Amino acid sequence: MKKLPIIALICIAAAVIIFMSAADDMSTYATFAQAESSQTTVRVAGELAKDKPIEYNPEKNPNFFSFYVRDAEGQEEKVVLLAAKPQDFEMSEQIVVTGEMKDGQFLANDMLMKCPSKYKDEEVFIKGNS
Amino acid sequence: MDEIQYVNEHLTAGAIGRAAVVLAFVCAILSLVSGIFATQAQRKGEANQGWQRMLGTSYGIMGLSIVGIIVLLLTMMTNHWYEFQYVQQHVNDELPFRYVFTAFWEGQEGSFLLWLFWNSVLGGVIWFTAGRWRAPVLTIIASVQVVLLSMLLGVYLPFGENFRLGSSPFLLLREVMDIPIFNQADYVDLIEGTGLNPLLQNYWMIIHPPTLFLGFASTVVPFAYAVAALWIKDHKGWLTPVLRWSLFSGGILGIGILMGGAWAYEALNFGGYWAWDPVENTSLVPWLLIVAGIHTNLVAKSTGYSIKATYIFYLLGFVAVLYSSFLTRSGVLGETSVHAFTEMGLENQLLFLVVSFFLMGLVFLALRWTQIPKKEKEEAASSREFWMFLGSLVLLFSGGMILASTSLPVINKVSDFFELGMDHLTINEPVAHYNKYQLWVGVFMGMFTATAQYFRWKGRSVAAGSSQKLLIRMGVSILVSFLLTVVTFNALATAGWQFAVLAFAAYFAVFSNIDYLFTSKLALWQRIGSVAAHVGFGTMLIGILFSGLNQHQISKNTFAMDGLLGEEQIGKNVLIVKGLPMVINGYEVTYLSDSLDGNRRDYHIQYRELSKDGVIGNEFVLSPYALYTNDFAKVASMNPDTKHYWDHDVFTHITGLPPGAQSADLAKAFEDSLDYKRFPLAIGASTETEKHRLTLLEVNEQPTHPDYEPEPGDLALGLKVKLERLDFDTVQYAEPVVVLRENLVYSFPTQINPFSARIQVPEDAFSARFGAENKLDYRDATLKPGETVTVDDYTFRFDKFDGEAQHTNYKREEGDVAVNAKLSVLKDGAVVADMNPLFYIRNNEPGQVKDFDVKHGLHARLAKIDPATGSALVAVAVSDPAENVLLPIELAENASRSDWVVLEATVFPGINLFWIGTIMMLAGLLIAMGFRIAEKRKLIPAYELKVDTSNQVASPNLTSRPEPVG
Repeated sequence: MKKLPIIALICIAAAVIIFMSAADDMSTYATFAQAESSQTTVRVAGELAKDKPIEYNPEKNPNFFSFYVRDAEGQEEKVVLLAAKPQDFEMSEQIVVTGEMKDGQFLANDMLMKCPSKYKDEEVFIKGNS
Repeated sequence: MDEIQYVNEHLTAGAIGRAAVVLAFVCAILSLVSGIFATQAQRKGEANQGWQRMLGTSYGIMGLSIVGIIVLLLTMMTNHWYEFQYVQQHVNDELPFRYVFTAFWEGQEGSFLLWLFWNSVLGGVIWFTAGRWRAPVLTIIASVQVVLLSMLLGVYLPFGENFRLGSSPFLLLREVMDIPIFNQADYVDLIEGTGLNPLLQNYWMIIHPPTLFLGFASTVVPFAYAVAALWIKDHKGWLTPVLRWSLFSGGILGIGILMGGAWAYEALNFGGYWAWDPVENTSLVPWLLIVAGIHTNLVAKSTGYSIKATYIFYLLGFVAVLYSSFLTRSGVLGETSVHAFTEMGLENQLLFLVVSFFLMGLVFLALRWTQIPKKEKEEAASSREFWMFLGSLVLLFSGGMILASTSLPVINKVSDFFELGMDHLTINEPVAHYNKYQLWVGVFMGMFTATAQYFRWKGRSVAAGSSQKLLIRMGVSILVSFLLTVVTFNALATAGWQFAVLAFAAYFAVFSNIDYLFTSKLALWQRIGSVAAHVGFGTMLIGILFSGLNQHQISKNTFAMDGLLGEEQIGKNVLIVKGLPMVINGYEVTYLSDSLDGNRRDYHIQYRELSKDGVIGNEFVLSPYALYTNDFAKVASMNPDTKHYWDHDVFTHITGLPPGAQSADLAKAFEDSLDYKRFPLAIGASTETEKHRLTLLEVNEQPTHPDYEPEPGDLALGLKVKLERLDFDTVQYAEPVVVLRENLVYSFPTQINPFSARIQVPEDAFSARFGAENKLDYRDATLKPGETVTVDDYTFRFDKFDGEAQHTNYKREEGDVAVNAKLSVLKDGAVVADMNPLFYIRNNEPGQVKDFDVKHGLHARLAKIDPATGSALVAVAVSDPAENVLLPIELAENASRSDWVVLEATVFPGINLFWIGTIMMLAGLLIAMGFRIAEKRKLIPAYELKVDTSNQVASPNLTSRPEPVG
């Protein structure tokens, strides 16, 4: 009996199954409105609303950090991240949070920040200015 | 407008550098062309010495030019020639010499140069060792060099909108930026470098990049052999020489990746050695493909099966390296990766690099596909080769899955480009996603690795003995593995059945290979590499299981959450206050102290392991640190520290600091937010707020304060105060200080952390203490020695002039004429004070230094002297005595305490199994390579099994190994 065709068949079947099941791990970037309606884990990309309060009070709770994010549609929501506040958070240009809407706030379990490139300004490299 | 004639630029060096790039580029093209002719001549059986010589010479010059470029650029960097953009961006004056190399390969151009350098070295080795494969293989490598060197050309081509070919590392800063400082001819003296990213200032970063790049670069050799073999239609002859190279590649690339993991574990704070970051993934995929290729290569070499598969794996391995560099350098990964390079406008060229070499492999393979020898009869399912082939397929699957998931950003970009209107996809939880699938890759690989060792090799069992014995040994191996799996499974914190399966596969791989080591009749050198690699692989899996599943947070504070959140959301961070031991999860953790060393602040954290009945076990201090930027404006990175035990590691890093320690901005914001209230107090007097009672104890005119360094001429005032809490019976003492130095006031407040209070002395404490000059009512009098003037209860008597002219607030200068008036002050007939006001003439200008007596509130000035009559014009005044003066003190009761850190502490059990296993696996590859090279050089006998039909065990003579020659 020829084994190669069988192996090929198994491989294709495995590939299809993996492909189908891996689709569950993925999602599209959502807006807060979509997160609210879907009630599942989604990723929201947006920017930090710098005029709204950024709350991190480690003496009260070192694992509670909240801030406001403005999504692509311009909707602003409070995001709660149960972790310490990352370095340079205030400087971030773009924020991607993964999590779900719960009781009117976005409960995030992961966050990615994109910070501006550090050394763009002239002042930085003129002697004596730093 | 006139051209500015800049001074102090090293234009000659820049010009030499650019010329060297062009020279190398031209030589690379030359060696490519001459290589093609040499190979074609070789194929026709014609003489090709001329072409060969040209190939060798041009390749050599190219290599030397590349070395020259590197030396030149390193020279520029060590000499801080900041007029060059690459130098300015990657070093600064403070950077230690050993990190100049790290800075060199931090940037894209430097890393391309490193890659080019290794390619040149590898090509040199090929030139001297590859025999008849020399011309075709070197030709393919030269073609890679042509494309890579084009990345450094930095020339504009006249088509399209200023299409730029490459980016030169020798660009001047003023050619890149247009900023006002370049209007100054001497701008070179005014600028400094921005320096190396503090995260990269770690010793792993000195050796990790060159090793990794050697690994990346070396994948070109199997690729080049594959294309060469297809080209000259020698589909079998290449299988032996290429194996040495792919073993080298697998070993070095693996070590390079592992070093990256070690760096991440030691210097980064995500807590682990692997994060499934795109940059990690895309360097792992080529390794998987090369390892798959090694296995099919072995099969093909001994049986003639799997030649096509070997071609495919080696071709794809190198293309995967190119694709990896495209992903990490083009900026396409953007938001999904932390350590991708910034964009440099080379996306199109990088894409060209990937596509052209992919097509090169594809076209050659397609043209020769039908000519590649294959076996009509299929491999038997009971043969080892069959299972090795299946194993390679699993590796291919693994690489494919990782690559597909990592490439989502690319797929999104492609969809945008063609306006397909697809939604942008992203993986929600990358780590879980990759682990879920790669777990099964581990299972299959472990099982195949184990079972293959019991199967027949090339049509007959190498493992000695009858099949019955074989089954018994296999049974024992399975049994031992099963028992250990049960033990392991019970020890694992997370009980998923799939982890038990993985543990079994891993143990089975380890034991079957150990069994194979002792029972195989093959020469030791032939199995040692394979056994080390496979035992290492199994050990690595067990290490991953333990350190991954059983890692736990010491810092997990289960009391912190008030039912609001689920179990899995309880945070990993805990706040500890200096000097207050905190018992958490079996450890007593104490923040002992912190110390500043250069621009890093170390936090010394003591850990004491506690057993259930409170007995103290291991005790150690870890010092994670915050690294500040060079200007100390803020924390640049928080670096972890790890305590290593043989069976577990304790890893800790700081996740949060008080604002004062974080950045200058936050420290100022904190200071501004304080709500100071002012309390004027006499010595010994008290006042009460809602929370505290504040008492002024005494005044200290020689005060000390941790931040204050006294200098001569300072006027300093320290107020010793006592602060009591009203609700508790606790007392704290403090001595805030205010200093007047050359007309500037410096304040040194004192933080009372237990009360969240901060106390400072305002500036007007000086006038309160020493009397405000404008409120004094001076009385003038011209006195001869012995004469007096009386103010209130005090009589001032002028005794004499004193030419010594000394006073604490007077600093004599050259040419001064100065004199003291000695006064005695009497009250009720008794002398209570001596005063020495001073008068001086400096540069024809008169000046005076007043004298005062704080205790009684006496003030005296010497306004004029009359040498003719020997009389002095003095001005005297009397103010409140010290005990009646109210001194202002400012108290803020909202000053959050500043003596804490937030930290995360993690225990990694069994992490050493991961390191040991991985090192063993990679060492196995290199050992195998070493023996293959020895075999080639006839240091050990070439081992060629004859296809055995008589079912007898071939027994190569193990004992009579000839002594190595030379």
